[in-house]
Amino acid sequence: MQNDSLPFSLGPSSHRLLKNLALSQNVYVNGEHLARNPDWHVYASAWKARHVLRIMRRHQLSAHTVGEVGCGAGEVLRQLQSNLTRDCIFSGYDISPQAIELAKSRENPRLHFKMADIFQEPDAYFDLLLILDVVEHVEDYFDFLRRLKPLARDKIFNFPLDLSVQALLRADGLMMRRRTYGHLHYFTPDLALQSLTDEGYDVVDWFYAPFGVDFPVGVKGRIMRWPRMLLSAISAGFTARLLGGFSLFVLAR
Amino acid sequence: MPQNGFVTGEYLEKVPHWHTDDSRWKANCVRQMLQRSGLAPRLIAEVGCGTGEVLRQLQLHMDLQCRFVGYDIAPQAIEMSRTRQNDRLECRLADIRLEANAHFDLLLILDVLEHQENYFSFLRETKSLAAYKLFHTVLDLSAQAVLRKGNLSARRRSTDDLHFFTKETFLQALRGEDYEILDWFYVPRSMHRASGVARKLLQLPRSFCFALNADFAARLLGGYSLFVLAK
Repeated sequence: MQNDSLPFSLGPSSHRLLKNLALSQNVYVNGEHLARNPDWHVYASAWKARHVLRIMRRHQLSAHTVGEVGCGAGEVLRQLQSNLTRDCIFSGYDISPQAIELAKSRENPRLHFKMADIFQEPDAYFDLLLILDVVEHVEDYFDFLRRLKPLARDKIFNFPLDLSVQALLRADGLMMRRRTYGHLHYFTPDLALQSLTDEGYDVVDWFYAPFGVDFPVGVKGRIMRWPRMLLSAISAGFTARLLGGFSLFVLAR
Repeated sequence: MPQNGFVTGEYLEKVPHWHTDDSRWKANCVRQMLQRSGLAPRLIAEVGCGTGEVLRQLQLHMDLQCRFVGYDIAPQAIEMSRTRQNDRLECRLADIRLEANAHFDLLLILDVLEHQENYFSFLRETKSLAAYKLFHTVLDLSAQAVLRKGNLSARRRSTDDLHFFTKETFLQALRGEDYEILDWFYVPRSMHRASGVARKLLQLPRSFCFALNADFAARLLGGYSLFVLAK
């Protein structure tokens, strides 16, 4: 794969990384994803960080090294830094030059960002590794999960639960997610948890997070917000399967 | 790796007949697609040929000069195919992507994509192996399947399907890898598989809904599969 259009030079490891990337992932390298998502999902970073902290507190996790795969603009790590112990070191990785460019403004002595494939990093190991909204973008997510497993003691995943009755009833329901967000795979809670356990992860805890309630998009999103909120008070799982708009946070080892 | 189940014999334990009972209607659909598009391939290969019964059924109804080559990575499947092989029908224990100079008029890829960990790279690697490619996939993604808790993960356990498709996502998967879609049609798979009058009667609401709006019926109720001819 040639990337002659890139406005910077790449080292040998980056060339290897780009060569190994599948074609559909190029959108993160060639700027297409940035064009579709100009803030690189920063609007949801505080929300994600809040749920990461929630699961950490539920299990009294203490981490001195925190890594994030697909860190994007780095705002999740910045938010976490404000809430965790001062000696904690944060390392964000992304394959996208545009994302890392955005993240650089957030760097400080204990918060670093690198345009790199975490699998190519020698001695990469963390107390806690965050994999938030990443798995659905990876062509071979089974292999990705297998290779991630030894990189950290604790792993926190976030899966968008795209598969719902309302998404399937609309002809464009799933295709819109692919076009707009670059989702290659779609999950129900069961499929997400099964994917982890099948790859040898021990699922310690999980919960639903009401993304569609907290971030309603457009008129339809604002209308759906109320049934999502009311029905999820009875059963979040059923609401996620019926109406969508939920994410799944998972702590796994 | 989940794919190892095909090699270790685990899949044979789950599906002892290796879907051979579906071979006749699948072969009929292949012939239907060929007739619709006016294709008369002389050299036909199948990736993931299983017991080879689809190829045998095709051989029974196609030109005598046609040659058929099946590929499968499962030794158990190839063993079961032995009785079907003849001088113009051969089944090989091999990964077609590793075959030197492999090129065919038509490549059948029936119920294979959903078992591939990386079906994107699989599509890229098989594209150049034949002039025409004919796909079949079960459309497991439906509203009723998603509404029932644990339904899709149970399917993954029982059939080793790693991916689930709607018509839209399947066609997009092909287009995304630069395939040109030439033709496609739905197949009422659950009707084909229903045995007995009572079970066939249960398919009536599905058929009625399908007659009104095929795409919507497939996404709402499931039970359909898709044949796609692509270049």
